Amino acid sequence: MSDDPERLLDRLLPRGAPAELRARVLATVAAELRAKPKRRFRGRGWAVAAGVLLAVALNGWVSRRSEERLAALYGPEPAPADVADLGRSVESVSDADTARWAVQRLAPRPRDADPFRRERLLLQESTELLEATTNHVPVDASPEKAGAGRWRPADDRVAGQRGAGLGHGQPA
Amino acid sequence: MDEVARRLAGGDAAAFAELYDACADRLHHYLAVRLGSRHDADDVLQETFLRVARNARRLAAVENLTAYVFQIARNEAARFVGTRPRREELSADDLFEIAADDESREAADTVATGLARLNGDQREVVELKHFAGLTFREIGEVTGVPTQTAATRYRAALDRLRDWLARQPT
Repeated sequence: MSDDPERLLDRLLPRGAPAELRARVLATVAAELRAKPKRRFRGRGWAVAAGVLLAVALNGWVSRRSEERLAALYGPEPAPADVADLGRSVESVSDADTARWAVQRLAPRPRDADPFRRERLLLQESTELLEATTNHVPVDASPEKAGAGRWRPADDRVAGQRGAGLGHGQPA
Repeated sequence: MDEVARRLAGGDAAAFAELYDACADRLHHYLAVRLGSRHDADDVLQETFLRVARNARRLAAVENLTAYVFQIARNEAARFVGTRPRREELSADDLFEIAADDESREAADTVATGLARLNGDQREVVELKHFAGLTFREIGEVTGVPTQTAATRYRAALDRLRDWLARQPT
């Protein structure tokens, strides 16, 4: 026998598919072609789109519920570091209640979409606080009634601070 | 084949019959070797044509229809094998149409035994080159290797067969 493998391989006729398989395969193919692919595709597309929308809505709802539950269990989220620092600064020149009030006014609201709104509020509120704690207007110019050194805060916006026991401007 | 591909993409049932007549025997032989069973090759051949029909619209963009169909068949065979136990090698009678003379019988038995000694990649290249009639480029597309790799595997397979044949008693 020849030891040339290609010549040997060329002499052989591979066995093919059985004759009866042709009708079976073509019948299956014909059935597949008769199916309506467009309707299937459209239905599948709408189902996918509806599934995505539902997933997004559910995710948002679950997130909100989770935040509410956590707030109920552990209280509101802690204030950001810069707001906490300002609160400590306020406490150093006033008292704890005033500092707490300032932090609550300056802490960001939930889902605040404007990234600069908080900074603007921070600047505005800190300016007002500084004015409130350092500004003073004489209550009465008459030395008989006021006495030397008596004075009151210049603006009603700081009424809460007066109520919180801010020492400046209180009668001696 | 381009005209057939265009008609296939349009869902022409007659075009599928033409495709079957052009490729089925080669596909069936290839699948029988990969699966180790002619019966399993029947099922996978049907699944192959079914998948081609399901994705008929893609055929309009296919450059080489023969390579495409063999690639589908290869993937279907891999999916079919899955966790099934490996089957025995096919006999010469399952692989080839053998004439009644002794010389043909001897050649068929020798080739069947020699092919069984090749590794999977080498055997596959020999099957696709010799019995499916694919070019090395088409074999590369089917098996996912560069054309040169397919050619290298083929030469290695022939060298191995040649060495084995040389050691056989005459």
